[in-house]
This record gives sequence, structure tokens and C-alpha cells, in this order.
Amino acid sequence: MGRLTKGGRPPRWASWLLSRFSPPGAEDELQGDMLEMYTYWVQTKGVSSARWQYGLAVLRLIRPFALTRTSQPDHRSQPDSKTNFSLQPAMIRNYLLIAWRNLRKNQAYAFINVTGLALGMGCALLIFALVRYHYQTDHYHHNFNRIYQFTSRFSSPTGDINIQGIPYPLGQAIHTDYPDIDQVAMLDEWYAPLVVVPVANGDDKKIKDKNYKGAFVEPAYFRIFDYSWLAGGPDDLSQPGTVVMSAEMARNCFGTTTGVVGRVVRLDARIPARVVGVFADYRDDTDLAYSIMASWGSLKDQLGTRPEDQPFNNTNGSTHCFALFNDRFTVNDWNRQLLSFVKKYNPNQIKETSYPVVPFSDMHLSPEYGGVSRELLLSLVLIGLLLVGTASINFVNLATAQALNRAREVGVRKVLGSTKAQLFWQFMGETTLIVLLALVLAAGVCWYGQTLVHTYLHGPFRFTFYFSPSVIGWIALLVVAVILLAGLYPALVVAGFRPVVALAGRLTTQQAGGFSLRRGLVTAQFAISQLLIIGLVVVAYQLSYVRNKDLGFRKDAILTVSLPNTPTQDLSKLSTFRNLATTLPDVGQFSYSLGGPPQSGMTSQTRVRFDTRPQIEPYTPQQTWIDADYVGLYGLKLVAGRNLHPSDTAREALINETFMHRLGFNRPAEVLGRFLHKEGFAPLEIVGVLTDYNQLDLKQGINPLFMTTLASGFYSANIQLSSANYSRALSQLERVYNQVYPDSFFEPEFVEQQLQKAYQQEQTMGRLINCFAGLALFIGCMGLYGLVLFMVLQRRKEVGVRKVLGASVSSILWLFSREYVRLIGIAFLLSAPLGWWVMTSWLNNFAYKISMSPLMFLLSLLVTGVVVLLTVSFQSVKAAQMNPVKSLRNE
Amino acid sequence: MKRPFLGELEEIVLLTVAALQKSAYCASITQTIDQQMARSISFPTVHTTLQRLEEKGFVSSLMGGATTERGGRQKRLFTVTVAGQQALIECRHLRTYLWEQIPTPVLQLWGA
Repeated sequence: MGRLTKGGRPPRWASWLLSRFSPPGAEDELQGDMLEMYTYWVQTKGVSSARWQYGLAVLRLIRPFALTRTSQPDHRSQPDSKTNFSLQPAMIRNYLLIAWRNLRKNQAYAFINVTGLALGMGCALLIFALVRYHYQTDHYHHNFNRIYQFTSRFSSPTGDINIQGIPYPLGQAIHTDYPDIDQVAMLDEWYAPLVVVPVANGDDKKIKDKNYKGAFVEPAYFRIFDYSWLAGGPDDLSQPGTVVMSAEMARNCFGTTTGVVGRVVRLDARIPARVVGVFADYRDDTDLAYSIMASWGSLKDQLGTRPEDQPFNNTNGSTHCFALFNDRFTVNDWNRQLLSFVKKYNPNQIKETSYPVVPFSDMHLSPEYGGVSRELLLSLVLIGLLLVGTASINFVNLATAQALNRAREVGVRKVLGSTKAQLFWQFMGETTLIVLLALVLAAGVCWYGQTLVHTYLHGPFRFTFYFSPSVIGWIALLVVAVILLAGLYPALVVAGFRPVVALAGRLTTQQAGGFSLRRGLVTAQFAISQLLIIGLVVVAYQLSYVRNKDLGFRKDAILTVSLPNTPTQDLSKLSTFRNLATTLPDVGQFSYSLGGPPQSGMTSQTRVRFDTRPQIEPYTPQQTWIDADYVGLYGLKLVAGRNLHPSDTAREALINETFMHRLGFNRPAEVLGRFLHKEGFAPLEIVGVLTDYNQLDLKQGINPLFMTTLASGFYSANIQLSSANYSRALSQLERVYNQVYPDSFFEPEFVEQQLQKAYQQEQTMGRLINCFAGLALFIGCMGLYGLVLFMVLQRRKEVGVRKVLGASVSSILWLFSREYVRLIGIAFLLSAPLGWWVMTSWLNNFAYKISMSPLMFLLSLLVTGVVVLLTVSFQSVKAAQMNPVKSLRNE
Repeated sequence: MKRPFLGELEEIVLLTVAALQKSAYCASITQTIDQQMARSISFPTVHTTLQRLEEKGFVSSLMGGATTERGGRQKRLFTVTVAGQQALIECRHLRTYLWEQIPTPVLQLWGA
């Protein structure tokens, strides 16, 4: 080989390919010729070109691309022992033909298998897409792993409370004290922004949509997160009175995205702001879905003072601070500085407050910061696995049952020299074909499911599936897993047939893949269905309990309208609106409050001192502002004392019983007339004690609460409608509202609907479980139908003989059903305790919950029982009614 | 039955086989065509063409001597069969016949 050294050796991989995949009998000559050609190429074209040519040529010479010699005129075509027959084109053609004939011959089974697998895999793909969406949220920012968020932690003897919000001046303080942190950006969320676009001649254009969120940000925000700019940029955002918006928002405001920079809009109808940039629409997989972002400086007009001048002990849940850490200043550095930072800026609450940083990547999946719970995602994944499992079980059951029909084929193949491995691969190949067929349908199911998710499960997020190459890997994994789950066992059974027994037709169902194994699998399917039905029933009961529970306040026919978003309300306008609204014929009672009905989520927490006690109380009661009519309108009950006197400033307070108990009193008389002290407020005299009612949603218990009159802090009008003509009432109210607040946006909402928002995640889960439980039952029943179909065929003669000997139709029905009745019973013994355990842990999310009754479990037993018996009897009734003469005559 | 048709590439390969006589095997044929006809042709193409010619019965082959430059591997040596000879001759006749039909003044005009 001395002459080869000049050009080195040809690419090793190519030589290997050639040695492995040469057409049978041609390896020797090809290797030799190619070596010579390589030397020739090296001499004429150079080494690199030669290597390239060599590789290309090999790829064209190997199977399956090369022609195989079909005419075999001489000794060379005699196959040697290494040849793998299974890969011969003729054999592959034969395998495909047999597979196709089998599918055609047993269309019912093929249909059941393909549909079942398609539904199961489709749901698995959809669930995969959903879960992936949540795990990939915001991953596209190139700094993703370096972004951190400052949070607040309030410690008390009863435990820590973590919230996403931080005090307004925090960002400024970090800026000045720790210049080493790469980037620090404050952001204040601005819910339901109202944008007014001045129109030259005519009415101003008002844009408001509940799905839009806005924010006030510092320019550094855009150095932390990735945005791409269509026009302008974020640099000018450092000046007050500037704003940037998404392309979608720009189109809504101006009808175009070009020439928008420099135009002026009014935010919340008051704050004029110049557009300095338009960014491309954000992707749907983000938690930072802000369509419009105004400069941090503009926040002064929203708050009344500069944000930096706000007190440090006032924490707002919608104020965030993002930071980009680097090696110069790490998370550990911050943790070391934390105590001295709190000492410097919030010296009164050193023990109670701290500001830990949390990786931004953790936010989307931490429920305490308003994210999605991992348990919900995990339960979805489990449901997906159960569905795929059910569909695979169908396949195994039908394939092993059918194996008998193929006994002769297997026998003949074995006699003619097939090895066990060849038969195994043949049957695995058939499974692969069916699974791939199902995959095509599954893609359709998944696509359809995605549109359903869009319409029905919209919830708080916009769900879009973003494709990336890794997805292909996951799909391949799913396909391989299904092929193995479904195909492995049947293929092993079939390949293991003893040819003599198989050809003599003496195989029985017992030998062909254990009848008891099929029983076990069917039991597993029943158990899966029952488990999901138990979940369905419990979720439905709990949600209806939540909907119908007496919350301790009135909620029907009450409407809330939000007032303009200004630092303080204009008191004269408040009374004008009240006077105009109450004169309307359809309006009953009328009341102002901070945040609409109890449970609206608009509550805040504060620390108070009670009466003459020197210490601040060691817990944080909730506070809210109401007027004197609130108690009457919502039908709250006083245990003792009186209602608040009408007032525009905070002077008196109502407290709930829980607060009274926490203060350490049992008789209301002991607290009436005593005072609550809150920083920045006049002493509040406790004038009444209210019966406890659920001011928080039912996932939480009842917290201590006090309410006082503070008219400047009212942001909702609560209106009781006295007639059933809601549409007339609404249009009249809108007219009055626009008359008083021409710049604001009339947005009525019924209390009943508002209360349901708290349970959105539970309702979503309820719907998903409904859907998946139904599917699991359906897939399972299809498999069962196929199995019974097969058994009826097998036992046709037996049924004939029984009928001749005088068996009744019902006794034959029982013959087929009793097996399954027993299996349902066994499955129930498995699913009931498991379901009880799973659902108990789910119910623990609620402070108020139903107790599970045996009835719910029996219901699942009943449903599966009825559905299974219907499925079984569909075929067996036919068998039982058949004329025995027919079945016995042909032998 | 119609005689198998001889394509242009097949004709060239077949002629090369005839020209090389005892040393006609796939690599030598490819290199000859590559050098003498200034025509870039790939090894797999020649390989496939030879296979096709063999199927049509224009060439026959047998395994021949190994040399060191081919790593001690055997060669598949090709020879033109009688059917191949006839096909080549017929091909040549056909061309000559067509050439003769071109009028002489035209040929002179072409400078041929």
C-alpha cells in the first residue's frame, strides 16, 4: 500500500459504508476500484477534492441507491452466508404486501388500531406542545439565564409571604449603591391601558382591550430583554412623556406602523406621550406581553409623585425590578449586601422585610409568583402517558388475539427457513407501518386540538406552538416508545410459534400470548378510565360547590364599573356620577369602593397597631376602602355595632370577626369604640363588627380585614340593577358615565363573572380532564369491541352448540359479559384508592372543599360498567341471536 | 423482439471496453474516458452503465488479478460479447450512412 501514502487514505467512514452496504457479492471489486480511483483523483485533483469525490461515489454505490443485479448469470451472484435476506428488495416487497393484505382483511381491527393510536398519540402531542410552551416561556431572550428579578419577602411568625412586587424606589437605590450590576430596570404594570389618539377633526379614538397590558419601564429593560425595532428605538424612553408600542398596537392606534414615530397619544386619556419607537410584536410564549410601554418618568403623572419619592414601606404587587447579573456582581454578592441594604432604606422593618432575587427562569413555573404550577403540568403529562398506554394496550390485545390467524403464515415461513429474528422484525415492521399511519392522523388530531385549546382554554395565556428541531427528536421518541410498547410483545409471541404446532392448526388462544396477560391489560385500561372519571366527577362537584357556596355576601344582579385611573379621584365627579346614576329607573343601590366586590383580588395588606398597645400587631390584616352603602348593597351582616357614617376621609372602621379574634377578643363589645392606628392615617374608630364572609377566593381562608371610608381611593362603582332589562340599564349607564368621564372608558362587569376568574385554572383543568377521560374511555371501548368481535368469531361453534342444547339469549350474553364484569370489579379495586389519594391532594388546594363520598366512586364504576356492557353486548347479542344451523353447518 | 437499444453513454463505455481489451475494468474505463475524452464522468455512473450493458448481454465479465495499488482486491474484467460487437458495428454503419447523406458541398463548407 506504499503508493497510497501520498494522498493518505480515503475517508474511513466511506470505506466502512462500502464494506457494509455494498450490493451482495460486489464488495471486493468496488473496494479495489475505488482505491484506484482515489489515487487517480489525488493525482489529478488534489487530496481534498479526492476525498470529496470518494465519499460522493460511495454514497451512490451502496444500497439502496445502487442497482442490484437482478439477472444473475454466474457464480458471483450466489449469496454468501452474510447476506441478510430480510433486506432483500424481494422480501421487503413481500412483507409490505402481506402487511397490506392483513390490514385489508381485518379492516375493523386496522381501523380500531389506527384510530386508537392516532387519538392517543394526538393527545400526547398536544399535551407535549402545551407543556413545552410553559417550559420554553421567554427562553428566546439571549440573556435568559442571566436575568434575575427582585422580589419582596414578608416574614411573620406564621410564615413567609413572597410576592413579585417591590417598592417603587428600589430600582433607584440599587442603581446608586451597586453600580457594578450590569443592568437594572424597573417596570410598573399598567392594567387595561386606555390609549386616546387625537383625531384632527372629529372624536378622539379610544383604544382599550382587556387583553392588552401596558407598562412603565426604564430604557435598560430593552437591554435586558430582546426586542426588535421596526422604527425608532428605546433610547429616547429615558425622557418623560415618551412611549413605545408594539406593531399590533400601532396598527390599532394609527392604522399603520410607518410614520408613527413622533406622533402623540394620551395615556389614560390624561398623560400626553410622544411615540419614540415601534417594536415587532412579541412572541406568544412570553410573560412580558406588554403592548405599550411608557417611560418610567411618565409614572409621575400616574402616581402623583415621582416613583423615587414613594415610601419604601409601600409595596405594590405590579411593580417589578429586573436585573442582569454578571461576574463582577453576583447573586451571592447581593445576598451578602441584603441586610445592610434593608437597614439603610427600610430601617423600621429589618426583621419583617427583605428583597431576595429570583432567577427570571423560575418565575413562569412558580405559583407563588403567579406562575403555572408544575403539578398541573405533571398531571397533564401523566394523563398523556395514560392515553398512549391505553391505545398501546388495544394494539397488544388485538394483535395477540389475531396472532392465531397468522399461525399458518408463520409456520410456512419457518419451514422455508425464516429465522426467529426475521419474523420478529417482520412483525415489528408491520407495527411501525401502523404507528406511522397513526402518526399522520395524530398530527391532524393535535392540530385540531390546538385550535380547540385556542378557543376554549384561552385562559390567561395565548398558546402558540413554536417549532424547533428538538421537537422532531421528541416526536421520534414518542413513535419509538409506542412501537416498542405496542409491537414488542406481539412480535415476540408470533416469532416464537413452534412451526409444527402452528401448521397443524393446534394453537389455542391460551398459547397465543397468554389470555391472562390480555385480562391484565384490559383491567389496566378499565382502571385508567375509572381513575380519570373519578377525577372528572370530583372536579365537577368541587367547582359547582365553589359556584354555589354561600359566600356571605350578595352577588346577583350587581354590576361593577371601573373609574378613571388617576392618582386620586375627583370627589365632585364621584357625587355627580352617583346622583345621575341613581336617578335611572333600572338602578337600585349604588356604592363606591376600592376594588368592586369582595374577591375581586384588589385588596392590600398593611400592618396596624391596636388601640393603646405599644407593639405593631404581628400579622398583616387586609384593608380596603368602601363607602357607607357598600354593606347594604352586598348584604353584609353586622354582628354588633353600626355601619360606617358617610364620609370622604378615613375616620371609622368596620372589622370582621376573624380580625376581632386575632386581636384577642371574643365579644364584639370589647373592640367597639377602640382605635386602629395605621401609618399616615388618622386613628380609625372601630364602629362595627361584621360576620365573616369570603373576601378571598375559596382556595384561601378568611383573613383579618378592616374597611374604612377613603373616597379618593375609590376605583370601582358597584351598581345593583333593579330590573331585568340589563341591556337598557347598561346603555343608560354608559351614557351617564361618558357624560361625567368623557375621557374614560365604560367597562361594566357582572360580579358573578368576576368571581369565577379566580378559578380559571381549575376550570381549565376540569375541561381538560373531561375531554381526556372521555377519550380514554372511548379508546378503551374500541379495543374491547375489537376483542369481543374476535371472541365471538372464535366461539361461534360453541354458541351454536349451546343454543342447540337449549341455552337462552340472556345466558349467552352472560357468557361473554361475565368476564368483563369481573375485570371491572378488579379495576375498581385499583382505581378507587388511587383516585381517592390523587383527588384528596388536589382538593387540599382549597380552603373550602367538598368531602369525597362513596357515591362519586360508585358513579365511575357505574359509568364504566354501563359503557363496557353496552360495548360487549353489541356484538354478543348478534352472536346469541344467530341461527345455530348456520354456524354449525359449515365445517 | 426488438434489439436492446444502445444509448450514447453506453456506446462510449462499450467502445472503451473494446479499446482497452484485456485491461478493461471499471476504474480503468472511468480514467480513460476522463482523460481521453475530456469528459468528466463519475465512477458510479460508469459502474451502473457497465451493469446495464451486462444485463443487455453486450459485455461479459469475470474476476481477475489483484494488484497492490488496489489493496489486493480482485478486478472485474470486462470483454465485449458477440452481441456487443454487432451492436457497435451496427452503430457505426448507421452513422456512416447518415454522414454519407450529407451533400459534399455542405461538408466542404463546414471544413470537415
